[in-house]
Amino acid sequence: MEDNVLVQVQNLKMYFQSESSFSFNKKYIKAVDDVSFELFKGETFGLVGESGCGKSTLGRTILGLYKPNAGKVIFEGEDIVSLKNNRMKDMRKKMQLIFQDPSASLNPRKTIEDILNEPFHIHKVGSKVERKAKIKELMNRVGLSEYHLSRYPHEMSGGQKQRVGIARALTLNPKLIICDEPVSALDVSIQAQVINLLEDLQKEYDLTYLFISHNLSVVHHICNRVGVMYLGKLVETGSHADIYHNTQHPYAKALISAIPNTDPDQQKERILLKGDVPSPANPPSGCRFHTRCPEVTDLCSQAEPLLKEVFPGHFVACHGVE
Amino acid sequence: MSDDIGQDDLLRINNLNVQFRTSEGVFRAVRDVSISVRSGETLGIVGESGSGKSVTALSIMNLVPNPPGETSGEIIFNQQDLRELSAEEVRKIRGNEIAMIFQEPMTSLNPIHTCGKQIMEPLLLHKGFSKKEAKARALELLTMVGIPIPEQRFKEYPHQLSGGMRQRVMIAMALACRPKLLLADEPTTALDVTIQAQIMELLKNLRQEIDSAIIMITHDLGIITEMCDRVVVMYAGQVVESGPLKELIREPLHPYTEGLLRSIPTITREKLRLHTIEGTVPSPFEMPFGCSFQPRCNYSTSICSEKAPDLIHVSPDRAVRCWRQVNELGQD
Repeated sequence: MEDNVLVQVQNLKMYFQSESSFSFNKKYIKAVDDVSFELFKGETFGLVGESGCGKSTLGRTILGLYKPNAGKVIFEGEDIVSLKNNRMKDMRKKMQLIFQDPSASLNPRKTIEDILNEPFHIHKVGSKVERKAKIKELMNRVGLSEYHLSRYPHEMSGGQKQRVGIARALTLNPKLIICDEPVSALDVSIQAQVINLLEDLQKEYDLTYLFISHNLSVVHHICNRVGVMYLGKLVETGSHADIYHNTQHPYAKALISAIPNTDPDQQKERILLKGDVPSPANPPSGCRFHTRCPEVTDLCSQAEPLLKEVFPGHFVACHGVE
Repeated sequence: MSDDIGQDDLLRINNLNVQFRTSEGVFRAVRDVSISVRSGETLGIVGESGSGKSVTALSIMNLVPNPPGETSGEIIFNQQDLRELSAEEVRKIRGNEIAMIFQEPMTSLNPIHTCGKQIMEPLLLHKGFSKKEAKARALELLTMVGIPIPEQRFKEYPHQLSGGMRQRVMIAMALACRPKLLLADEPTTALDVTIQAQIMELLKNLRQEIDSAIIMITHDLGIITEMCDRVVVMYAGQVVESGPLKELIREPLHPYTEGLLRSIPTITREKLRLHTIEGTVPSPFEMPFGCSFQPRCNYSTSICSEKAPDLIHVSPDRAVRCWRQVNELGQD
């Protein structure tokens, strides 16, 4: 494996058994279906797609919160899917998660200090003095004061709570942080503050981000590379410029054209997709996008397109792209 | 406030105040808001959470509960003050001449009635349609909002539809009586990106067909830019700036508007560091003295923290609440 790769995801499959089905008629929701990509050290990889496309499940499977049905997640040369509990616990120190809703992800009955102490406690890291010093450092770093340590989550604003969530993710000096819609629940003026903070922390602590979002403008701003997901599949991955300026997959084109325009002088051509995202329990045959694709051909409903490298580092899964 | 009274104003809100008495004190949600909407235009109200934009919309429909809400001011629709009408008279206007689309279609549709029945309801109630006529009109509406197989959907319940379809049903319901004014409160916020694009396109097309005025309430400046003719920016319960869309986007006069515009990441701009508005929206119980935006403002001077600025007109259709503009006008 190359030196600069932090995480390599190989043919990862995460199926959930759907409820109320008898054993002879098992149905699976293929939330993540045969996904492969890599995360390079120090980069921000954006994972975009609509609700139900499997982007959050993919993030959580990489963290080892779900046991995948098949595939490998190789973190620094070690496949973490097959790790036993103890080794996995050690591994978890190196990867952390920042959640979308800061109110729901902080324990309302604990003070901020208790919340930040918990990772140290679970992993038995550091002495009392060391812990306290680290917590103080992090609080300052994320723009909160020591005064907030004795507060409870409900006494803080949404932006402040998200800063606590970020500080908590940083306590054990992780290498990878999975940011699952970290700014979606925040107001516009607070969003910019948190995005800037995430960018600063990345440089300072040498972090790699997997940035999951449905907001393509935010992803455009923060990410070096981007992957577009549709119904459990990666349909296009590439550098920031590949995805936004040399878009190949019809779904990615439609997604990008759907971003509301903030320049009143620019009228842009919008690709409107027909219908809704099909149910992941019963995805269409062949290419999963063929039911909504404006460029559909006969082949699309029969054969599933594979992810091909069409330009160096730019992969697309579409029959229409050579 | 010296808002010139145009004859073609469909709705005029004059000095609207809404406050809630809570155990923590008096929460002034809407402070001295004056807004006018002309027939056929789309007005955008933009603001962050707690800016008072939704409460303003609810008070137009007379839907702010009292107690705890206390409302004062005038809401003049079609030359009559809605606040002086009896509850029954308001009910005749609500859903008929003024209709509303809410953010979350799942919680605002009735789960135990079919979609068809809910679209028929305003027609039976306000227009005196027979059941047969109402059904025909409901099917027509479902087709108009782009629902495939309307006969099938007519019989279905809201939980059987996807989020985008539900929002289309809501729009069909709101348009049933051909309202003169449509209030859309974050109509696409709960939807996915591609579905949001579908709904925005639908609203744009319908706007030409139905010829009603729309008040679009949102926190998304992108939606405002695509849909609206005029914009009102709200902050901490007050209107801080208003004006025609292009002028306001190109040359914002209030520091808050300027900050908002610069702090959103866009795909047309280069990847520079985002501009931020420091601090947070003040707590409604601890409003700063003077201008409400002053603690977060880059241009703040001593007068800003001493005295609250009034909303002043800098041109016939642009108004701003900022001491900087007052001073500039004074020097002319």
